Amino acid sequence: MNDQNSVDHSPGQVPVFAVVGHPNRGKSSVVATLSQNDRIAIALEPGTTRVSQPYPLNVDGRTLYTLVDTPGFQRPRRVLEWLQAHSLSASDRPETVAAFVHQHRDNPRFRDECELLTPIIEGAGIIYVVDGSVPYTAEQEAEMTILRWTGQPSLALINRIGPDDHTATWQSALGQFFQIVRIFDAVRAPFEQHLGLLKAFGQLRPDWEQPLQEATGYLTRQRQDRQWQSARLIAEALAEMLTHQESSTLPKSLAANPDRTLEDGLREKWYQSQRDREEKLRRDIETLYQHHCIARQEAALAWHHDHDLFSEETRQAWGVSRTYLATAGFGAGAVGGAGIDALTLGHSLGTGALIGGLLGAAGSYFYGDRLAVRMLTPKALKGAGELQTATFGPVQDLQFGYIVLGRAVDHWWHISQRNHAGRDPLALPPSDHHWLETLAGDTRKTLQRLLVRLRKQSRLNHRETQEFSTVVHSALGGYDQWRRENAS
Amino acid sequence: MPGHLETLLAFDRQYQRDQQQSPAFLHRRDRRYRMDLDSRAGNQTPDIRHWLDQLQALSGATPGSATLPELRLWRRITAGFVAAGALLGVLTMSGLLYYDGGQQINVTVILGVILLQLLLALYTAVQGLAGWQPWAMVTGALLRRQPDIATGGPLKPLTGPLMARTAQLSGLLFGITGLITLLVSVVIQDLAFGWTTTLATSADTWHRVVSWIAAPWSGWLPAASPSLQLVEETRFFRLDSANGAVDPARWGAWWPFIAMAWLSWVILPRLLLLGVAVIDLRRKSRRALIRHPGYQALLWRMETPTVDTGAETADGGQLPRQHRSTTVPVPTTSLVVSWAGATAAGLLPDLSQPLARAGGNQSLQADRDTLGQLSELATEDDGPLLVITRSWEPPTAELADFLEEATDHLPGRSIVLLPMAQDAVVRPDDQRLGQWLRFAERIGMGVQVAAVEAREKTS
Repeated sequence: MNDQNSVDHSPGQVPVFAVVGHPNRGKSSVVATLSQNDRIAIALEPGTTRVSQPYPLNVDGRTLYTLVDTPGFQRPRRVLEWLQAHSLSASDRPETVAAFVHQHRDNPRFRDECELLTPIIEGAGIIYVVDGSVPYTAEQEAEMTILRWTGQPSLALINRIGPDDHTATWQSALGQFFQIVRIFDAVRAPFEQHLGLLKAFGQLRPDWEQPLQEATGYLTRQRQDRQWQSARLIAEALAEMLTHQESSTLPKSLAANPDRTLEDGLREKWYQSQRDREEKLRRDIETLYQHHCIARQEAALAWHHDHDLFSEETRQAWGVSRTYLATAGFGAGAVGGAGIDALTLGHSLGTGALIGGLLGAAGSYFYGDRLAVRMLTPKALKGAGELQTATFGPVQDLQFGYIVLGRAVDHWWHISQRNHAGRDPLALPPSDHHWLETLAGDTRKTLQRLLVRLRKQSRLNHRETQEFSTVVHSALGGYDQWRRENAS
Repeated sequence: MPGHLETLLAFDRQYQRDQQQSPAFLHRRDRRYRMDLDSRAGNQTPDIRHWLDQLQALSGATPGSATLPELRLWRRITAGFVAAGALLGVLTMSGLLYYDGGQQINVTVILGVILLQLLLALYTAVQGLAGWQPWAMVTGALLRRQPDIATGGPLKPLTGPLMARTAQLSGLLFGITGLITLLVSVVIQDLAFGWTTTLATSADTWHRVVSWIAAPWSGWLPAASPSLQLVEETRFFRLDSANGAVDPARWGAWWPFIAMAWLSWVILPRLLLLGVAVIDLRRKSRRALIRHPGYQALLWRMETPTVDTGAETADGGQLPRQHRSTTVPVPTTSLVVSWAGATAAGLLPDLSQPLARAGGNQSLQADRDTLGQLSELATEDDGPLLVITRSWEPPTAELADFLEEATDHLPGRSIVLLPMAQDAVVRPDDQRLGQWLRFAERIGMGVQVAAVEAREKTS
């Protein structure tokens, strides 16, 4: 390992875990998930030499443990042959492994083996990763024998990369070489399993238990904090979107007879601005959860796209029923969801709201034009002056608030559950019934009340802002619970 | 020392600047501040002013030295109001004391002005406490004319209390300059005060009114408390010219009362209410700071440990490049080696004997023996050396070593790798074949990769 990446491996110090194994067996995906780093290249070219890379967990600058991602074994049988030729008894094996590393440090043939064995001979625990989706083969026994020779505490991790399942045979084979054998799906394992795995690392040596316990405590708190921060971000975006206005200033001569072009132009700007704000919220949430490389399926949104904020499909998925809106969040029966028809769209809820016309054929795809949005034309404005201003917005229909909230909560949930080893594009499929049904009555009522306040374009005061964040936080918790119940 | 208002404005400026920074950086910065504070001063509550000063000091600025444009503007507004107040005080008192020797100065008018001042002071106080902004149009227009001041900033909810403070200060100066004008006039002029009213009021009633006004000081300054006799003697009527019986000095005896009334009912209330306005402004500034959107976030950043999981660590690995070569058809040959237990059942029916083995868990010596046997059996008619591998296993350096040794044992004979899918008659997917093609390109030696033609997977 080079000096720049060297870490303190001395026993009794910070626990270090070397993640080792055969090439392309998911070592990096395990490290990516545990270190929450989605920039780690998962599918590296096997056989291309790389250096070990430490990923320390620092809390206020204090390292609690370090994961070291290592290159895979390239010549395990040759290494084992060398070790066997230089050992007399079981007692000298760790020393012999160290001697091998010292002797071959500059030998390019064994660079990968030296890289992966260096942290181990310096005291790191061994996390041996295998792919449970490919059949067990005895050829990896040489690797496992070398690792056993190091005498370091070890744990085997069965990480399923592909669809097939050979976990059982791997489990029985690995049990002969390793103290602990765990199954861990680096791409799909929920957060609780990440913590469980870290705690299992702590079981490898008594003095590692406490720092790993501490680390899981901090990670748990970090996750709780992120949920609160997400709630604040969502509440902030929702408030902005519900009170957003577009305006255009015209000379009085032109403003006297505003035509459809003015309204259509403002409307289009308003739509785009809302989409941009939603996009910003999504980026903020992804950054918060340290997802920097997500490819979203709706990345290139067009207005007629099914996943667009104003698409009919979006309305069907996230809108709520008219009864629900009318009963201040206490709507009996179905809240909404796919197939519901009795929505308020097209009904003017706000006094003075002018409802825009349909955009011809686009209407069937696009619910946006049926939203009640306040439009004030220059004609409606009092007062004189050479310049007059026409405004479009804010939206008068609470339906829009529920749609934005539903989409935001859904996106948050997918991001918060996504492991950093995941490389699939983020898909946000609609569901068949409505998530709001799981929220407590008080939460629904408060949510409705605050949305009504925002619809009136009232600035939320300090207490209401906090209340809004709290209610969105409850919504996030409710949505998570709803998803878990649906999955089980 | 900067007050809460300055702190609020400086905090808002910092908050606006911080919007451009990454949340991780802000968390590190503010947590570091808190940890340094704890190490120096124990577990004490963080002070926002100190935090701002620290940031300024680290950037090389003198803490608290910069005057914020919002405050500059407000100081200008206040200075204008104060100057106007002072001038008006002089003018008003001069007007009230205007005496051309024809008719006495009416104390009733002066008391009316004092009452008006008192009411104005009280209204200003109520307006400030309630947050009304009667001057919003004027101050808003002034703020909009300042390019470096954002409208709707943190000062917006404080405009009422700010204006109240300015108005009270202006009123105070009005009172002070008025009093000075009165005293100067008393010294340099011979003023004749009297009282008159159209109302049918007796001197006795009027004496009760002035006694009530003089109540705060009558106990310790009787000279400034008019007697009933003085009240009776100094009543005058516009059309009555029979005032000659009164001693001329009696007309001037009112001035101590007027001076004390002005001091007690104009200046002191203004002073008191100015204090209320200042305290109210401090309280509201502090509340605005606590309610500032960045305040809770800052406290959170200070209190919450930074957890760095290594998420920002750059990975030095290389992603696969595009392979240049393509697969070749499976050759016909009798020189076949199974690498690491790979099988080709059903694909090579011509082979009668078990496949030669290499790799896997057998020893390196056994690999060498396999190559030795193959070189002994090889004839001119045999095809290339076909090495069967498992497509899902990554090619390792051990295989490269084996192929290198094979070229030594079988000189001049080409080598073909045959990666197999789990179902031998199915072509492995392109991703898996790709790693074998790149491996062959990397090791050279003319090694090729063969694959079965694409077919539907057998059930």
